[in-house]
Amino acid sequence: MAINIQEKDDFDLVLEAQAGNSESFGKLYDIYIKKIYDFVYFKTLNKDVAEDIISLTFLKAWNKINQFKNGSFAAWLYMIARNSIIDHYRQNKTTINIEDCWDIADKNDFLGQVDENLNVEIIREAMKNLKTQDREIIIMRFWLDLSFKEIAERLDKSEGAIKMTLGRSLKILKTQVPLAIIILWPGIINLCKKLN
Amino acid sequence: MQEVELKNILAQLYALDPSLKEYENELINLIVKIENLKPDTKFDINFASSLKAKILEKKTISSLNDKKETFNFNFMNKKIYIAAGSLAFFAILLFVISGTYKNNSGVLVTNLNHKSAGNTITKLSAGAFGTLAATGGQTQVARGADSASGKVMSLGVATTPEMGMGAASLSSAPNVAVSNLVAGAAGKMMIMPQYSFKYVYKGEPVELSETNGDVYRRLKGNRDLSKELAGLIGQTNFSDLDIKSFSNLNMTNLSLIEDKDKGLMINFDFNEDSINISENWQKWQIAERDACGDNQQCWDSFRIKISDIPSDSDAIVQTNNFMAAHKISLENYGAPEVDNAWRDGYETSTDKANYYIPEYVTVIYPLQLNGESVRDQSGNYAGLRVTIDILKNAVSGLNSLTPYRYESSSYELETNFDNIKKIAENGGLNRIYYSSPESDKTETIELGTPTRGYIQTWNYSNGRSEELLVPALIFPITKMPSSQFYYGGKNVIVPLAKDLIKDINNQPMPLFRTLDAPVGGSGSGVMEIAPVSGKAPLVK
Repeated sequence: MAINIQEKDDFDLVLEAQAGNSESFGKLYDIYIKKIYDFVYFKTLNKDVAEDIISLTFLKAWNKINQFKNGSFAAWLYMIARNSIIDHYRQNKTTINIEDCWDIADKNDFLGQVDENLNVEIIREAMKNLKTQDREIIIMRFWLDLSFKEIAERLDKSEGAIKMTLGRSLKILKTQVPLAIIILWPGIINLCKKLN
Repeated sequence: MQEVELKNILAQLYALDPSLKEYENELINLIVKIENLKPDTKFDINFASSLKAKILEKKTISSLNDKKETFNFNFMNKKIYIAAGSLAFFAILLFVISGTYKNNSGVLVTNLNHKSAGNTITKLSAGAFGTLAATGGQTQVARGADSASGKVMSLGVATTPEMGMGAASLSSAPNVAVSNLVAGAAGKMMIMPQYSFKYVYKGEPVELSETNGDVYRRLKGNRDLSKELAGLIGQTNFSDLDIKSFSNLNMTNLSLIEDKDKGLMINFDFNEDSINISENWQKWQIAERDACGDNQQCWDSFRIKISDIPSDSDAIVQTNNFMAAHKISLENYGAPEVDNAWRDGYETSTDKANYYIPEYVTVIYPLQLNGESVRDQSGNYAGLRVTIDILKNAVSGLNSLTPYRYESSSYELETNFDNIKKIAENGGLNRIYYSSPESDKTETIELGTPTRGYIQTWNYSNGRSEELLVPALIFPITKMPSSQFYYGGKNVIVPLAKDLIKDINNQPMPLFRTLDAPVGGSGSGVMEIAPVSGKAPLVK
């Protein structure tokens, strides 16, 4: 089985961490803190909540490092983060979707553009209507900049399934977002000119 | 997202669902729109840093509690202290036996029952170290020169590597540095590289929420120990000197040598509370090389070849074995790394056959504080430096083994990342820049998202040097100059303590002015040193 350099590095570091080397775990932490931070933030859209969950995620990972056997450390870490998010909402708000908080997110939670609030809101609403995992794939590909292979590992699915899901989600979004909003955005027109 | 990447994603989707292709423009627009929706996560580097420390500390505490036996090296540790005292005693005893000196006391027994001083950090009140701006740090690294073209150069003096670059490092004394630089120059000096360095931040936005942070001062100078050891010697009568006629004696240094092939010299510096190990040079001679005389071929046969350099892992195994053999604890140090800075010059050299390859490999054990690494002003790791003599294939030195004893005090930190970024784009504390009149030769250095750490700096106030560890951001250089050798290290470092950076971009720099007519005979340039007034542009 092919193994990429990052995985190999991770694996070595995990072995050292399992032997009690805290510094090796520190290196894993350095590699993944920003990625996990972004991932959790994109799912919670709240800085304080995100930081609580991130703390819990890495604490669990360090305490349970000996339970990691093989496979992708990144996927294992994302799984802990995802479970921590679910645990958080299960403990605090049982009436909402407990896999992320897009149901309760406010438009101000998104960066967007000041003069594009309406458009941002429409896209956000459209994304909200996707299934949680379909939305997660969009977030992972376009916000976290993960490759299809990385997304497949983290979600324990095949690359083909990820691509199919993404294609389907884009189709759904395309039908839900008015054409005019998509096409008339000046920045997009410029990009289209470049691409075509 | 790059156009190419976007097209690539879509191509992969089309492969599975060709019907998507007919909506290509809409999909592109949609994806761009989604990307635009991406929230700003406001990644908090201070949160990340403190979380790391907390997590690792928790596990470390629990694992320490699990250990039945721990060894904590500290040269003020009782065991080592007794060993040092015993060695001193033994050395004196040897003199007594040899009849050189007469021992009057008859009883060379001293009370060495000091308390063991392990890792300690004592918290003091806020601002307890006074102004940090009195440090010699930033002023020490700045050098200036006024070239014939009237422009300014400043050299950041890297404190490391000692062996790596194969080039002489600059002295902190400007005159010495200047004389080194201009040796052989005639008339106006030609010491300027004809290019400029421009630092550009390319990392992500960083939020700095920590308004205050601890600065650490290393505790040093155990007067009790130095007095006691001095008292030990003071009980001895030297034939040429009545040592008892002196009063209030303290021992400042103690040196021991191994009298054997490849023997080492161990030096205890009681003022600095540090141990340094070096070659007992008499035992490291290479007789065949010393006999080379004028025979260049003979000399060349002893030159280090690239194939002689041990692999990094072999070098680290060798130094680790040395540490283990001498029971030097690495508890407070990170994973060792080989200082390969010299390789940068070697790799870019067009004459590799004649490139000077250093005879020593240096392994660095980075000092750690709160789970973060400590850096020197060049952004290199600070900590233990252990050298291996390649020709002798043996560890030949160790620098700066110090007790882990600090005082901490809270200081106000900069929270405006733009201010920090501005300093980083001026080269941080280790400015390497030259403002060339030929603007087309500007070299861009790109900086990535910083990590948290500490910078090791010194405060020269109160007539003594105090070592401080100050919270800092370390900006990795993600893109080096493409056509010029950059000698400034792989990081740019900026302290976060407001006190230390408030004037960093405005401080006057010494300038070296050339005189039109050379003085002092041919081949020597003359400079005068003058401060720059006002706010000199630091980077073109």
